[in-house]
Amino acid sequence: MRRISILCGVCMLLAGLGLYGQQFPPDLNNNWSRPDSITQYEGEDLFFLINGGAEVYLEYGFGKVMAADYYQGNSKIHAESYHMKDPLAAWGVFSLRKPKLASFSEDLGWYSAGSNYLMVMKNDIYLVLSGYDKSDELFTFAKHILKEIPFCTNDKAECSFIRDSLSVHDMIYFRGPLALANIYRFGHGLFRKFSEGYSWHNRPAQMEIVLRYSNESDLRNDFDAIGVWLEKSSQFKLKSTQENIISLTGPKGDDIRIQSYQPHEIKIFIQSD
Amino acid sequence: MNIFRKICLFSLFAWVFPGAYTSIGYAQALCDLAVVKTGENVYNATFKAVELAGGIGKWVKPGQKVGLLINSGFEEKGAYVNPDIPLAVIRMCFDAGASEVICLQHVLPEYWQRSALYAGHAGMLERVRTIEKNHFPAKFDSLSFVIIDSVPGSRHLKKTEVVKEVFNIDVFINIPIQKHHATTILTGTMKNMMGLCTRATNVKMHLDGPSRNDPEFLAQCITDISKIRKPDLHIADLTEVIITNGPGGPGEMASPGIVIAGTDPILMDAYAAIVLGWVPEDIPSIVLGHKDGMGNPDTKKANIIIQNAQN
Repeated sequence: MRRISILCGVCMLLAGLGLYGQQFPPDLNNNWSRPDSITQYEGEDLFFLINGGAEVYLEYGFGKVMAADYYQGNSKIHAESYHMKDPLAAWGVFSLRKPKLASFSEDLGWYSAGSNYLMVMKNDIYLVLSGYDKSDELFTFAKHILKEIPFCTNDKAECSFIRDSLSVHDMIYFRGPLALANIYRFGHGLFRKFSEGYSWHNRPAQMEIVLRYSNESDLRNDFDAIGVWLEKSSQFKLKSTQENIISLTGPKGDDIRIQSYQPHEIKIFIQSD
Repeated sequence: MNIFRKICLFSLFAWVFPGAYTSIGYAQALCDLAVVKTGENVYNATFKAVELAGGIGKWVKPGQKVGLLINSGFEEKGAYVNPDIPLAVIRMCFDAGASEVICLQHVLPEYWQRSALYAGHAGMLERVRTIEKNHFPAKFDSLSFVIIDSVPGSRHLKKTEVVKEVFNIDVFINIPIQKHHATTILTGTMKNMMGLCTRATNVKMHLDGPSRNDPEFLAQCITDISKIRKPDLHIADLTEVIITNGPGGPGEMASPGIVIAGTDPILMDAYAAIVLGWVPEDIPSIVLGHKDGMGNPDTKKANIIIQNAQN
């Protein structure tokens, strides 16, 4: 038994080294120098890599990150490859962090590109390249780093969910109150017990947020807490209540409808025009 | 006086008289909060904001040592303080006769080079000392940092590693950027104080609460840092800032185009929150800071002067 355990451990270690070796290959087949060092952080040590906001990654489910700098003359590309707990966690971070709508490339995966950065999500990897303003070079770089990472295939329900959702909407997927607060700020203490959720805009001024619960009791606790929270809030005003629907006015005059679909979902509709 | 006694006396004073510095500020300032629209000239707007807040001479006397805490350590525009602001502050400090200007958190040369005014100030910057060891992710060493076992008046903050130089300066000027933060919504005047501490101390503020990453625990720790050494003056960047994906970005940008200055960090943050479309009552560091007597978030009662840089 002990031998089998040791053997399994060695195999996992080798597999891990192989995977990460592929993410940061020493030879990039161009003029970029290989990094002097590749830094790796695991778990809550992520706080020592990210200067603010590491907690959101942890909420999604973070495993490891590899970080390195590549140089070409005076130019630098900073690469961070996050190995999340599962593809949905990688998709969640990507969906929250991307400033624009995502695009899809057959050989790269989901990506979002800006003036000096490229964010890519492929399987359970979230890759960020930054610090260099030539997007072609960043794309080449990303393809090279991710070439051995298999796509999340559609035979997994979570992967088809990712593919279908991102291609249609500006969807953000989240797994806790920290990320939710980055989407819409209801106030500390509300909606604490959901297990996952997602948001998107039906129209430019209309956002829908879906919260999923693992059991009815958690959903009921969160829904029942709304009344207590409203009594304390100076920013949100109650408009009306029905059995499973609460209508509010938000801080900026938003019309908000919170609807419970027992046993597992709360839907929130926010009209902001 | 040894450094430990100095810290204890300073902390005790701040604890017994939590409003002392603010009260002095109110008595002498022209206003509670100076707001200056920058137009094209952030540098001049900074001069104007400090002038409206009372003039640099109110705080900096000839021969004094000035410590600056500048949020400079990010790559994305809107995530770091526009360098024209600290350039103007340093110029004012030296013009007022400061013997030394020290960056309490390390500022890289590249940061200054982002300013179009860099060349004209390169000589001045050579006179500025920076605490190189206090650079993200800052690690404790006994030359640059000191351990405070208990902060008088602190509710949550216990063993704290703080940059030593903050106890050797005469004047402390805090220079934050007001922007989005994933946990605290707003990071600005109050939260910038985390820049005085090692990373290990800051991580404890995130993780040592009743639950991991508890926003209220973090906010209370932020309030507690200010009890160690309260800044004498705050000058904040609200020119172009990120309002999503903070604190590092890239994120959606807002361009209020203003520089604000004052002595009340809670008022500064409350004003910034409103400008950026957030609700001050919903930001834990404002609520808890107010509760602990660090300032007053009531922007309606405050004397706020708004001017153009050119006036």
